[in-house]
Amino acid sequence: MVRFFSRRLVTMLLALLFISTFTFFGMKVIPGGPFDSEKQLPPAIQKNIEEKYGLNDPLLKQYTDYLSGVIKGDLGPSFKYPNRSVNDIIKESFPVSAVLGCVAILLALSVGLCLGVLSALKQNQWQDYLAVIIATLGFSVPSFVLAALLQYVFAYKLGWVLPAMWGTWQQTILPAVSLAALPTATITRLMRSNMLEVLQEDYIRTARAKGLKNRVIIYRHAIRNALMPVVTYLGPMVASIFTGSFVVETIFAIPGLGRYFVNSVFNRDYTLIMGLTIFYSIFLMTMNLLVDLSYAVIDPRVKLTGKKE
Amino acid sequence: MVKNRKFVLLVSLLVILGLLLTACGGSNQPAGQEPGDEEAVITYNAGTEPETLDVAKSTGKPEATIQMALFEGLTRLDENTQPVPGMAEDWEISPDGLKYTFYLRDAKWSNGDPVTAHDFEYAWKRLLDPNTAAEYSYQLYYVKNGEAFNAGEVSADEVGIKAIDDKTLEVELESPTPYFLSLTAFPNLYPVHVPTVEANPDTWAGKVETLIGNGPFMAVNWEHQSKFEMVKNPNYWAADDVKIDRLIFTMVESETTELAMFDANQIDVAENPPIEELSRLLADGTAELFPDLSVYYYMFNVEQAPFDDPLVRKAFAMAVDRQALIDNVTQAEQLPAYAFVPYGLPDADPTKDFREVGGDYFKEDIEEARRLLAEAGYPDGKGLPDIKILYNTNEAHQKIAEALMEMWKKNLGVENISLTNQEWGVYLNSRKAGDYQVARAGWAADYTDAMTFLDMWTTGNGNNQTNWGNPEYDNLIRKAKNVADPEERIQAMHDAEAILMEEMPVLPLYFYTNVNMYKPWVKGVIVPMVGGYQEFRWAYVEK
Repeated sequence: MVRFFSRRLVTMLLALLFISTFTFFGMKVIPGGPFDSEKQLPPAIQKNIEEKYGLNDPLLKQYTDYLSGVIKGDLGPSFKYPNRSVNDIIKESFPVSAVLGCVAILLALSVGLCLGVLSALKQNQWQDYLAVIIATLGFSVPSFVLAALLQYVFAYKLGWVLPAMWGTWQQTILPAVSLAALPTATITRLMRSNMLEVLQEDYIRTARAKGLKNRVIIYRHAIRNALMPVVTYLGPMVASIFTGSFVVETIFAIPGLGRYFVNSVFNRDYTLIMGLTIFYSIFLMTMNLLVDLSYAVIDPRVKLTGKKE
Repeated sequence: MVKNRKFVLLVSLLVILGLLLTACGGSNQPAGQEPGDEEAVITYNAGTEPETLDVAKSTGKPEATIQMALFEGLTRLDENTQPVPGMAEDWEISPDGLKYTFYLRDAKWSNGDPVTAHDFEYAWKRLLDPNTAAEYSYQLYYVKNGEAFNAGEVSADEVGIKAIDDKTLEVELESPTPYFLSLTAFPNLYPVHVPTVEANPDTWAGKVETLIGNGPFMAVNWEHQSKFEMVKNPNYWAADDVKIDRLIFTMVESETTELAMFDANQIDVAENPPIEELSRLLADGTAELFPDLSVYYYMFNVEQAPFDDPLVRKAFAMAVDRQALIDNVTQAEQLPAYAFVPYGLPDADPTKDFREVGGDYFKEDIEEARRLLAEAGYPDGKGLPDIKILYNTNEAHQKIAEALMEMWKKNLGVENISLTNQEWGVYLNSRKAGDYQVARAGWAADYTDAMTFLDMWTTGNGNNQTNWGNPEYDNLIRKAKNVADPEERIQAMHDAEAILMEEMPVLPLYFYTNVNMYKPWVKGVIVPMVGGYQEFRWAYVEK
C-alpha cells in the first residue's frame, strides 16, 4: 500500500514537471503576448511593462522563477487581471464549477445507471429502445445546442426559470442538465453493454443454479461487476466536469473555471494558462488515483502493490 | 477479510462523498438580495469581467464604464461629448494654450476625506511612473516632461503637474493641445485616494473595500465573472442630483443570452444584440443606434506586390460597394467611409464637423477602378500576383472579407484572391511583422479630435503597419501638433488626410455605430461618442 502510494506520487510529480515544462515553452512559442492590442504601445511603455512582468528576462530564467513560485504554492498574478492572483481566480471560480459539476454528475449517475441496467434487463423491449434513443441523443446533440435549446424553451418561451446568471438553486437546473447529457449517455451505454455481458457469465449461472433470488443476483453480482468500466470512466469525467465547461458557462453566464481555460489562451495570460494546466493535471491525476483505489474495493482480484506483475 | 474489505469500501465511499460535499458546499451563497420596488435600480450588461479598475492601468470599455460611475475627473463629458465641470469647478488656460490652471470644488471621497489637487498630482504622476508600467501612460505624454519621465529620463519633480495648494492644480503642456480638457474626463486621468493606494499599491482596485472613489456611485459587491454592484455615493458633491440608488453591472458574454435576459427583464440596458436579430430590434424600436468615433478599414502592405502601386490600392478602394456591404452584411446602419476620420469631431469652427468640412476623398466608380488597374499594368486583373486577405478569426470579419473578395472578383476581374484567418494574437503579430498583403483593421478614437485618427500614419509610427510613409504628411502632422491657431491646425490635418487618401495605404470601409437597447423606463443615460460608454451619472428610472 505504502509502496503503491509512493510510486504513484513520484510518477505524478514527474508527469507534472513534464506537463508544466511543455506548456510553458509551448505557450511562449505561440506568437503574440498578453499586452498585445490593435493599438501599439510606444516603445518606452512596452519596455516598462516587460520589465515589470519580467518578460524580457531570458526564457530559462522566467521558467525557473515561475517554477520556484509554484513549488511554494504561488501561481503568480494574472497578466490579464493584474489585481487578482491565479490562486484567487481558482479559489473563486472552482467552487462554482464544482457545485455545478456535482449536480450534473449525480444526475448523470442516477439516470445513466438506472437506464443502463433497465435496458439490459429488458433487452429488445420498449424500455431498452427508449434508453438507447436517449443515449444516442445525449451523444449526438452538442452541449451548445442543448444549452441554447433549454434556455430558449424553459427560460424564454415558458418563463419557468431566469435565462442565466448564478446564485439560486433554480439557476443550476438548466446548466446541470446541459452538462449531464453526455456523461448520462456514456454511462447508459457502458452500463447496458456490460450488464449484458456479465449476465452471460458463468458465475451468474452458478448463482442462479444455487437458487439465489433474482434481485440478489442482479444487485450483488451483476451490477457490481458491470460497474467497473463506469468507474474507470468516472475518474477523468469528474475531473473534466468539475473544472467547468466553456460552452455551458458562457451560455448561462456562470462564473466558473471553464471560461478561463479558453480565454486565458486567447489572452496569452501566461500565468493563468500555467496555473490552470497545473491545477487540472493534479485534479485529473488525483481522480485517476481514486479510481484505481476503488477498483480494489469493487474487484476482489485487484490488489494495491508497488510491484510490477 | 470480507469485513475488512467492506470497511475499506465504506471509508473510501465516505472520502469520495466528503470530497464531493466540500466541493459542493463551497459557494452556496444566497442569491443577491433582489432590490425592492421603491429603489431605483438599473441593471446593465457590461459584457465581461473588468480586467482592472485601477485607473492607471485600465484600458478598455467595461473598465471605463464602471470607473465613470465610481470616479470623477476634473471634467465630465455631457450628452454632446463636451467637457463640463467635474471635480474642477473652473479653469484658466494661458493664451499660448500651454498652461492650464484648475480650481477644484469642495468634494469628498466616498469615505468622507476631502478630494484635493494633491490627489490629482499623485494619480497623474503615478500613471506616468515607469514603475507603474501603465499601458495608457501616453495619455499624459502631452504634459511637459511626461514622456521623458515615463521613459525614465527625468525625475517626477520635473513633470509639469503641480498642486499649488489643496484646491489648485497647475498643468504645463509640451505643446498646445486643444482637446486636453476632454482628456481630463477619461478614466486614466481620474484622481486616486492617496492613503489607500499607498497602502495597497497593487491590490487596492481589486476589492470593493479599498475601491475608494469620488464619483456618483460606490462599489458594494463584486462577484467576479458575474456581477458588479454599486449604490449611490452619499458623499458625491452632487449626490442630490443622482437619481439611481443601485447600479448592477452584469458580465454576460454571450449575445444570445444577453438578449434573452433583456427580454426577461433580467437586465435593463444591453449592447450589441446578435446580428441576426438586429433588423427586427431596430424596426420595433427596441434597439437604438448611436454614432461612434471609430472606423473599420483595410490596410495595405505597400511593400508587397501588387499593393506597392498606389494605382492598385485606389482601384481596390473604388471597386467596393460600401452601402451594399452595410445593408447586407454588417446591417447596423454604419456610415460608408470615403475618408479616414469619422463624423462627430470638431472643425476649426467647433460648430462644424471635421468630416463634413473635409468631405469625401474618393468615390466608388468601377469604370475608373478598372482603368486605374489597367494603367498599373493589370488590365482586367490579368497578371496580378496571388492576393491573400488577412483577418482575425471572427464570423463578422469573415463575412466582410468574403463580400470584398466577391466584389473585387466581379468588379475588377481579380481571380487569384483568397482568405486567410488567424487567431487574434497571431494576426496582430503578422500585422506587426508586415507579414501580409492586405488586412482588416479597426481604429477607435482616444480623444475627441481628428488628430487621434491622423498622427498614427506618420512614418515609422507603431500603429502604422503599412510600411507607408510620406515626409510631407509627417510635416503637416508636426505642424498641427505645435501650432496654436485653430484654423491653421485644422487645415494642416485636412491637408494631411488628403495625402493619406491620395496615396491610400488604407482603404476605409465604414464608420461604426453602437447598437444599444434600453428598457422604456430607463432614461437619461448618456453615450459619449468616444468609447461608446454608458454614463449613468444623469440617469433615472420612470416606471
